[in-house]
Amino acid sequence: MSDMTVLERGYRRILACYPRSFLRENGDEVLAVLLDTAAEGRTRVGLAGAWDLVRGGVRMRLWPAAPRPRAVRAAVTLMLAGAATELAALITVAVSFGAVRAAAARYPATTDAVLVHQVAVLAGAPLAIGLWLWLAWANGKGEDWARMLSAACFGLLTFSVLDALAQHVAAVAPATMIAAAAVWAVGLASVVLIFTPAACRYYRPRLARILPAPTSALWPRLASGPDLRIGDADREATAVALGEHFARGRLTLEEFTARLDVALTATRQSEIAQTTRDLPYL
Amino acid sequence: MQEATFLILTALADGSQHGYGIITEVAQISDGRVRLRAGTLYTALDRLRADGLVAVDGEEIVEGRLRRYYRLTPDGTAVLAAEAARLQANAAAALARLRPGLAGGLA
Repeated sequence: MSDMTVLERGYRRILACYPRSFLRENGDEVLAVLLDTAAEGRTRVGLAGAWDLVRGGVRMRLWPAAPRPRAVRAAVTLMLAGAATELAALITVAVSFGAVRAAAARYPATTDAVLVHQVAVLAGAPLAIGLWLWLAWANGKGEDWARMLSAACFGLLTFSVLDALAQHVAAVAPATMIAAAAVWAVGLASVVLIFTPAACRYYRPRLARILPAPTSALWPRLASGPDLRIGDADREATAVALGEHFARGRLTLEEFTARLDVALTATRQSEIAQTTRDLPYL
Repeated sequence: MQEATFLILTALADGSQHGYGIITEVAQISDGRVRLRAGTLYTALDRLRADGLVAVDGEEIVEGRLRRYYRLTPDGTAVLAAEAARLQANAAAALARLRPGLAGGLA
Protein backbone atom coordinates (compact mmCIF):
# COMPACT_ATOMS: atom_id res chain seq x y z
CA MET A 1 0.00 0.00 0.00
CA SER A 2 2.82 2.39 0.81
CA ASP A 3 4.41 1.46 -2.55
CA MET A 4 1.23 2.64 -4.24
CA THR A 5 1.28 6.01 -2.59
CA VAL A 6 4.90 6.63 -3.61
CA LEU A 7 4.01 5.77 -7.19
CA GLU A 8 0.86 7.87 -7.04
CA ARG A 9 2.75 10.81 -5.64
CA GLY A 10 5.30 10.48 -8.43
CA TYR A 11 2.60 10.50 -11.10
CA ARG A 12 0.88 13.47 -9.47
CA ARG A 13 4.12 15.43 -9.49
CA ILE A 14 4.66 14.84 -13.22
CA LEU A 15 1.01 15.55 -14.05
CA ALA A 16 1.59 19.09 -12.78
CA CYS A 17 3.10 19.91 -16.19
CA TYR A 18 -0.38 19.64 -17.77
CA PRO A 19 -2.59 22.74 -18.05
CA ARG A 20 -4.62 23.30 -14.90
CA SER A 21 -7.93 23.31 -16.79
CA PHE A 22 -7.12 19.88 -18.21
CA LEU A 23 -6.19 18.48 -14.78
CA ARG A 24 -9.38 19.78 -13.21
CA GLU A 25 -11.44 17.81 -15.66
CA ASN A 26 -9.23 14.80 -16.40
CA GLY A 27 -6.60 14.60 -13.65
CA ASP A 28 -8.26 11.86 -11.57
CA GLU A 29 -9.07 9.84 -14.64
CA VAL A 30 -5.52 10.00 -16.05
CA LEU A 31 -4.12 9.07 -12.66
CA ALA A 32 -6.49 6.07 -12.47
CA VAL A 33 -5.34 4.88 -15.92
CA LEU A 34 -1.69 5.39 -14.96
CA LEU A 35 -2.13 3.29 -11.83
CA ASP A 36 -4.14 0.65 -13.74
CA THR A 37 -1.47 0.31 -16.41
CA ALA A 38 1.50 0.39 -14.05
CA ALA A 39 3.28 -2.96 -14.05
CA GLU A 40 2.77 -5.18 -11.00
CA GLY A 41 5.19 -4.29 -8.23
CA ARG A 42 6.29 -1.02 -9.78
CA THR A 43 7.07 1.48 -7.05
CA ARG A 44 8.53 4.36 -9.04
CA VAL A 45 7.58 6.15 -12.22
CA GLY A 46 9.59 4.71 -15.13
CA LEU A 47 11.68 6.96 -17.34
CA ALA A 48 9.70 6.18 -20.51
CA GLY A 49 6.37 6.75 -18.78
CA ALA A 50 7.58 10.01 -17.26
CA TRP A 51 8.86 11.21 -20.64
CA ASP A 52 5.55 10.35 -22.29
CA LEU A 53 3.65 12.35 -19.66
CA VAL A 54 5.94 15.37 -19.83
CA ARG A 55 5.80 15.39 -23.62
CA GLY A 56 2.00 15.30 -23.57
CA GLY A 57 1.82 18.10 -21.03
CA VAL A 58 4.23 20.34 -22.90
CA ARG A 59 2.42 19.69 -26.18
CA MET A 60 -0.92 20.54 -24.60
CA ARG A 61 0.44 23.79 -23.20
CA LEU A 62 2.19 24.91 -26.37
CA TRP A 63 -0.46 23.81 -28.86
CA PRO A 64 -3.81 23.76 -27.07
CA ALA A 65 -6.32 21.54 -28.82
CA ALA A 66 -8.66 23.65 -30.88
CA PRO A 67 -10.52 22.87 -34.06
CA ARG A 68 -7.96 24.61 -36.26
CA PRO A 69 -6.85 23.49 -39.70
CA ARG A 70 -3.26 22.31 -39.93
CA ALA A 71 -2.28 25.33 -42.07
CA VAL A 72 -3.40 27.73 -39.34
CA ARG A 73 -1.68 25.71 -36.62
CA ALA A 74 1.53 25.73 -38.66
CA ALA A 75 1.19 29.48 -39.28
CA VAL A 76 0.76 30.12 -35.55
CA THR A 77 3.84 28.02 -34.78
CA LEU A 78 5.77 29.94 -37.45
CA MET A 79 4.68 33.27 -35.97
CA LEU A 80 5.96 32.15 -32.58
CA ALA A 81 9.17 31.18 -34.39
CA GLY A 82 9.11 34.66 -35.93
CA ALA A 83 9.11 36.19 -32.45
CA ALA A 84 12.06 33.96 -31.52
CA THR A 85 13.91 34.89 -34.73
CA GLU A 86 13.31 38.55 -34.02
CA LEU A 87 14.81 38.06 -30.58
CA ALA A 88 17.81 36.37 -32.21
CA ALA A 89 18.10 39.34 -34.61
CA LEU A 90 18.03 41.72 -31.67
CA ILE A 91 20.84 39.83 -29.97
CA THR A 92 22.80 39.68 -33.24
CA VAL A 93 22.62 43.42 -33.73
CA ALA A 94 23.41 44.16 -30.09
CA VAL A 95 26.46 41.89 -30.13
CA SER A 96 27.79 43.08 -33.50
CA PHE A 97 27.10 46.77 -32.99
CA GLY A 98 30.75 47.67 -32.30
CA ALA A 99 32.06 45.63 -35.22
CA VAL A 100 29.52 47.17 -37.56
CA ARG A 101 30.48 50.66 -36.51
CA ALA A 102 34.12 49.86 -37.28
CA ALA A 103 33.21 48.35 -40.65
CA ALA A 104 30.97 51.26 -41.50
CA ALA A 105 33.95 53.59 -41.22
CA ARG A 106 35.28 51.98 -44.41
CA TYR A 107 32.09 52.91 -46.26
CA PRO A 108 31.64 56.53 -45.20
CA ALA A 109 28.82 57.10 -47.66
CA THR A 110 26.63 54.46 -46.07
CA THR A 111 27.58 54.87 -42.41
CA ASP A 112 24.52 56.84 -41.43
CA ALA A 113 22.03 54.68 -43.24
CA VAL A 114 23.47 51.47 -41.77
CA LEU A 115 23.62 52.86 -38.25
CA VAL A 116 20.08 54.12 -38.58
CA HIS A 117 19.05 50.63 -39.63
CA GLN A 118 20.86 49.09 -36.65
CA VAL A 119 19.30 51.50 -34.20
CA ALA A 120 15.90 50.87 -35.79
CA VAL A 121 16.34 47.13 -35.23
CA LEU A 122 17.40 47.68 -31.61
CA ALA A 123 14.49 49.96 -30.87
CA GLY A 124 11.92 48.16 -32.99
CA ALA A 125 12.67 44.55 -32.04
CA PRO A 126 10.74 44.51 -28.75
CA LEU A 127 7.78 46.01 -30.59
CA ALA A 128 8.14 43.48 -33.39
CA ILE A 129 8.31 40.58 -30.93
CA GLY A 130 5.10 41.79 -29.32
CA LEU A 131 3.49 42.11 -32.74
CA TRP A 132 4.46 38.56 -33.75
CA LEU A 133 3.03 37.15 -30.51
CA TRP A 134 -0.14 39.18 -30.83
CA LEU A 135 -0.68 38.12 -34.45
CA ALA A 136 0.00 34.48 -33.55
CA TRP A 137 -2.67 34.66 -30.85
CA ALA A 138 -5.25 36.47 -33.01
CA ASN A 139 -4.66 34.29 -36.09
CA GLY A 140 -5.01 31.23 -33.89
CA LYS A 141 -8.47 32.48 -32.93
CA GLY A 142 -9.38 32.90 -36.59
CA GLU A 143 -9.75 36.68 -36.53
CA ASP A 144 -9.96 37.89 -40.11
CA TRP A 145 -8.47 41.30 -39.29
CA ALA A 146 -5.39 39.52 -37.91
CA ARG A 147 -4.92 37.88 -41.28
CA MET A 148 -5.11 41.21 -43.08
CA LEU A 149 -2.80 42.83 -40.54
CA SER A 150 -0.32 39.98 -40.95
CA ALA A 151 -0.28 40.54 -44.70
CA ALA A 152 0.19 44.28 -44.21
CA CYS A 153 3.03 43.72 -41.74
CA PHE A 154 4.66 41.34 -44.17
CA GLY A 155 4.46 44.04 -46.84
CA LEU A 156 6.22 46.49 -44.51
CA LEU A 157 8.79 43.84 -43.63
CA THR A 158 9.51 43.22 -47.32
CA PHE A 159 9.90 46.95 -47.87
CA SER A 160 12.34 47.28 -44.97
CA VAL A 161 14.43 44.33 -46.19
CA LEU A 162 14.58 45.80 -49.71
CA ASP A 163 15.49 49.17 -48.21
CA ALA A 164 18.25 47.57 -46.16
CA LEU A 165 19.59 45.88 -49.30
CA ALA A 166 19.57 49.19 -51.16
CA GLN A 167 21.49 50.80 -48.30
CA HIS A 168 24.27 48.18 -48.59
CA VAL A 169 23.60 46.86 -45.10
CA ALA A 170 24.68 43.45 -46.42
CA ALA A 171 28.20 44.67 -47.11
CA VAL A 172 28.66 46.38 -43.76
CA ALA A 173 26.61 44.20 -41.44
CA PRO A 174 26.18 40.73 -42.98
CA ALA A 175 24.90 39.18 -39.73
CA THR A 176 22.13 41.76 -39.49
CA MET A 177 21.17 41.12 -43.10
CA ILE A 178 21.02 37.35 -42.56
CA ALA A 179 18.82 37.84 -39.48
CA ALA A 180 16.52 40.16 -41.44
CA ALA A 181 16.28 37.60 -44.27
CA ALA A 182 15.41 34.86 -41.78
CA VAL A 183 12.63 36.96 -40.26
CA TRP A 184 11.36 37.75 -43.75
CA ALA A 185 11.31 34.06 -44.74
CA VAL A 186 9.33 33.15 -41.62
CA GLY A 187 6.89 35.97 -42.40
CA LEU A 188 6.48 34.82 -45.99
CA ALA A 189 5.78 31.22 -44.98
CA SER A 190 3.22 32.17 -42.33
CA VAL A 191 1.39 34.60 -44.63
CA VAL A 192 1.24 31.98 -47.40
CA LEU A 193 -0.17 29.45 -44.92
CA ILE A 194 -2.97 31.67 -43.63
CA PHE A 195 -4.12 32.35 -47.19
CA THR A 196 -4.33 28.69 -48.25
CA PRO A 197 -7.85 27.44 -49.08
CA ALA A 198 -7.99 25.28 -45.93
CA ALA A 199 -7.11 28.26 -43.74
CA CYS A 200 -9.60 30.51 -45.57
CA ARG A 201 -12.41 28.20 -44.56
CA TYR A 202 -11.34 28.59 -40.94
CA TYR A 203 -11.33 32.37 -41.14
CA ARG A 204 -14.58 32.60 -43.06
CA PRO A 205 -16.81 29.74 -42.02
CA ARG A 206 -20.00 31.45 -43.14
CA LEU A 207 -18.84 32.19 -46.65
CA ALA A 208 -17.35 28.72 -47.05
CA ARG A 209 -20.76 27.19 -46.52
CA ILE A 210 -22.15 29.12 -49.47
CA LEU A 211 -19.25 28.56 -51.85
CA PRO A 212 -18.59 25.11 -53.32
CA ALA A 213 -15.23 23.48 -52.63
CA PRO A 214 -12.67 24.58 -55.21
CA THR A 215 -12.13 21.30 -56.98
CA SER A 216 -13.06 20.30 -60.49
CA ALA A 217 -14.69 17.13 -59.22
CA LEU A 218 -17.37 19.12 -57.46
CA TRP A 219 -18.33 21.17 -60.51
CA PRO A 220 -20.24 18.56 -62.52
CA ARG A 221 -22.78 21.09 -63.77
CA LEU A 222 -20.11 23.27 -65.27
CA ALA A 223 -18.20 20.54 -67.07
CA SER A 224 -19.52 20.67 -70.60
CA GLY A 225 -16.28 20.00 -72.48
CA PRO A 226 -14.50 16.66 -72.90
CA ASP A 227 -14.62 14.17 -70.03
CA LEU A 228 -11.34 15.18 -68.39
CA ARG A 229 -9.08 12.90 -66.41
CA ILE A 230 -8.80 13.58 -62.68
CA GLY A 231 -5.98 13.35 -60.15
CA ASP A 232 -5.39 12.36 -56.54
CA ALA A 233 -6.36 15.84 -55.30
CA ASP A 234 -9.81 15.46 -56.87
CA ARG A 235 -10.27 11.97 -55.45
CA GLU A 236 -9.19 13.08 -52.01
CA ALA A 237 -11.40 16.19 -52.04
CA THR A 238 -14.41 14.14 -53.08
CA ALA A 239 -13.69 11.55 -50.36
CA VAL A 240 -13.57 14.33 -47.77
CA ALA A 241 -16.80 15.84 -49.16
CA LEU A 242 -18.54 12.44 -49.02
CA GLY A 243 -17.38 12.06 -45.42
CA GLU A 244 -18.90 15.43 -44.63
CA HIS A 245 -22.22 14.47 -46.27
CA PHE A 246 -22.17 11.21 -44.32
CA ALA A 247 -21.52 13.09 -41.09
CA ARG A 248 -24.53 15.29 -41.83
CA GLY A 249 -26.77 12.30 -42.28
CA ARG A 250 -27.27 12.61 -46.03
CA LEU A 251 -25.77 9.18 -46.73
CA THR A 252 -26.08 5.85 -44.93
CA LEU A 253 -22.87 4.03 -44.04
CA GLU A 254 -23.44 1.59 -46.96
CA GLU A 255 -24.04 4.40 -49.45
CA PHE A 256 -21.04 6.26 -48.11
CA THR A 257 -18.61 3.34 -48.44
CA ALA A 258 -19.97 2.41 -51.87
CA ARG A 259 -19.54 5.95 -53.15
CA LEU A 260 -16.13 6.21 -51.52
CA ASP A 261 -15.02 3.14 -53.47
CA VAL A 262 -16.17 4.77 -56.70
CA ALA A 263 -14.62 8.14 -55.85
CA LEU A 264 -11.23 6.70 -54.88
CA THR A 265 -10.91 4.60 -58.05
CA ALA A 266 -12.46 7.07 -60.52
CA THR A 267 -10.26 8.27 -63.40
CA ARG A 268 -12.72 10.55 -65.24
CA GLN A 269 -14.71 13.59 -64.17
CA SER A 270 -17.98 11.96 -65.17
CA GLU A 271 -17.30 8.95 -62.90
CA ILE A 272 -16.42 10.98 -59.83
CA ALA A 273 -19.19 13.52 -60.43
CA GLN A 274 -21.89 10.89 -60.11
CA THR A 275 -20.86 10.24 -56.49
CA THR A 276 -21.90 13.76 -55.46
CA ARG A 277 -24.49 14.58 -58.15
CA ASP A 278 -27.56 14.19 -55.91
CA LEU A 279 -25.94 15.96 -52.95
CA PRO A 280 -26.17 19.68 -52.17
CA TYR A 281 -23.06 21.87 -52.08
CA LEU A 282 -21.27 21.87 -48.76
CA MET B 1 -3.52 11.04 -39.31
CA GLN B 2 -1.04 9.55 -36.86
CA GLU B 3 -1.19 5.83 -36.25
CA ALA B 4 -2.02 6.26 -32.55
CA THR B 5 -4.98 8.51 -33.44
CA PHE B 6 -6.18 6.07 -36.07
CA LEU B 7 -6.00 3.17 -33.61
CA ILE B 8 -7.81 5.11 -30.87
CA LEU B 9 -10.67 5.90 -33.27
CA THR B 10 -10.70 2.26 -34.37
CA ALA B 11 -10.89 1.08 -30.75
CA LEU B 12 -14.02 3.23 -30.32
CA ALA B 13 -15.61 2.21 -33.62
CA ASP B 14 -17.75 -0.63 -32.23
CA GLY B 15 -18.76 0.92 -28.93
CA SER B 16 -17.72 3.26 -26.15
CA GLN B 17 -14.64 2.54 -24.04
CA HIS B 18 -12.93 4.02 -21.01
CA GLY B 19 -9.28 5.08 -21.05
CA TYR B 20 -7.85 1.77 -19.85
CA GLY B 21 -10.18 -0.05 -22.22
CA ILE B 22 -8.86 1.94 -25.19
CA ILE B 23 -5.27 1.04 -24.27
CA THR B 24 -6.04 -2.69 -24.15
CA GLU B 25 -8.17 -2.53 -27.33
CA VAL B 26 -5.39 -0.73 -29.21
CA ALA B 27 -2.87 -3.34 -28.06
CA GLN B 28 -5.21 -6.05 -29.29
CA ILE B 29 -5.97 -4.39 -32.64
CA SER B 30 -2.29 -3.88 -33.36
CA ASP B 31 -1.33 -7.39 -32.22
CA GLY B 32 0.51 -5.96 -29.22
CA ARG B 33 2.72 -3.78 -31.42
CA VAL B 34 1.33 -0.44 -30.17
CA ARG B 35 1.23 0.00 -26.41
CA LEU B 36 -0.33 3.41 -25.79
CA ARG B 37 0.87 5.27 -22.75
CA ALA B 38 -1.44 7.47 -20.71
CA GLY B 39 0.21 10.73 -21.80
CA THR B 40 -0.10 9.89 -25.50
CA LEU B 41 -3.66 8.66 -25.07
CA TYR B 42 -4.96 11.70 -23.24
CA THR B 43 -3.15 14.22 -25.43
CA ALA B 44 -4.78 12.54 -28.44
CA LEU B 45 -8.19 12.32 -26.74
CA ASP B 46 -8.02 16.00 -25.78
CA ARG B 47 -7.43 16.92 -29.41
CA LEU B 48 -10.04 14.51 -30.76
CA ARG B 49 -12.63 15.93 -28.38
CA ALA B 50 -11.78 19.49 -29.39
CA ASP B 51 -12.10 18.48 -33.05
CA GLY B 52 -15.50 16.95 -32.33
CA LEU B 53 -14.48 13.43 -33.41
CA VAL B 54 -14.85 11.87 -29.95
CA ALA B 55 -17.29 12.69 -27.15
CA VAL B 56 -17.68 11.69 -23.50
CA ASP B 57 -20.27 8.94 -23.09
CA GLY B 58 -20.77 8.88 -19.33
CA GLU B 59 -18.77 8.27 -16.17
CA GLU B 60 -18.72 5.79 -13.35
CA ILE B 61 -16.73 5.19 -10.20
CA VAL B 62 -15.12 1.75 -9.98
CA GLU B 63 -13.21 0.85 -6.82
CA GLY B 64 -12.97 4.50 -5.91
CA ARG B 65 -11.50 5.49 -9.27
CA LEU B 66 -13.11 7.64 -11.91
CA ARG B 67 -13.85 5.96 -15.23
CA ARG B 68 -14.94 8.10 -18.13
CA TYR B 69 -16.31 6.49 -21.27
CA TYR B 70 -15.64 7.85 -24.75
CA ARG B 71 -17.49 7.26 -28.00
CA LEU B 72 -17.10 8.22 -31.65
CA THR B 73 -19.25 11.11 -32.89
CA PRO B 74 -20.79 10.93 -36.40
CA ASP B 75 -17.91 13.18 -37.54
CA GLY B 76 -15.44 10.76 -35.96
CA THR B 77 -17.04 7.83 -37.76
CA ALA B 78 -16.84 9.68 -41.08
CA VAL B 79 -13.21 10.66 -40.58
CA LEU B 80 -12.24 7.14 -39.55
CA ALA B 81 -14.09 5.65 -42.53
CA ALA B 82 -12.44 8.08 -44.94
CA GLU B 83 -9.00 7.42 -43.45
CA ALA B 84 -9.52 3.65 -43.55
CA ALA B 85 -10.59 3.89 -47.20
CA ARG B 86 -7.55 6.00 -48.01
CA LEU B 87 -5.19 3.54 -46.32
CA GLN B 88 -6.89 0.65 -48.10
CA ALA B 89 -6.57 2.40 -51.47
CA ASN B 90 -2.86 3.06 -50.81
CA ALA B 91 -2.26 -0.52 -49.70
CA ALA B 92 -4.11 -1.86 -52.74
CA ALA B 93 -2.03 0.34 -55.04
CA ALA B 94 1.20 -0.83 -53.38
CA LEU B 95 0.23 -4.51 -53.64
CA ALA B 96 -0.88 -4.10 -57.25
CA ARG B 97 2.49 -2.65 -58.17
CA LEU B 98 4.38 -5.28 -56.21
CA ARG B 99 2.40 -8.16 -57.65
CA PRO B 100 4.31 -8.63 -60.96
CA GLY B 101 7.56 -8.89 -59.01
CA LEU B 102 6.05 -11.16 -56.35
CA ALA B 103 4.25 -13.45 -58.79
CA GLY B 104 6.62 -13.78 -61.70
CA GLY B 105 10.02 -13.18 -60.14
CA LEU B 106 12.48 -11.48 -62.50
CA ALA B 107 10.96 -11.03 -65.90
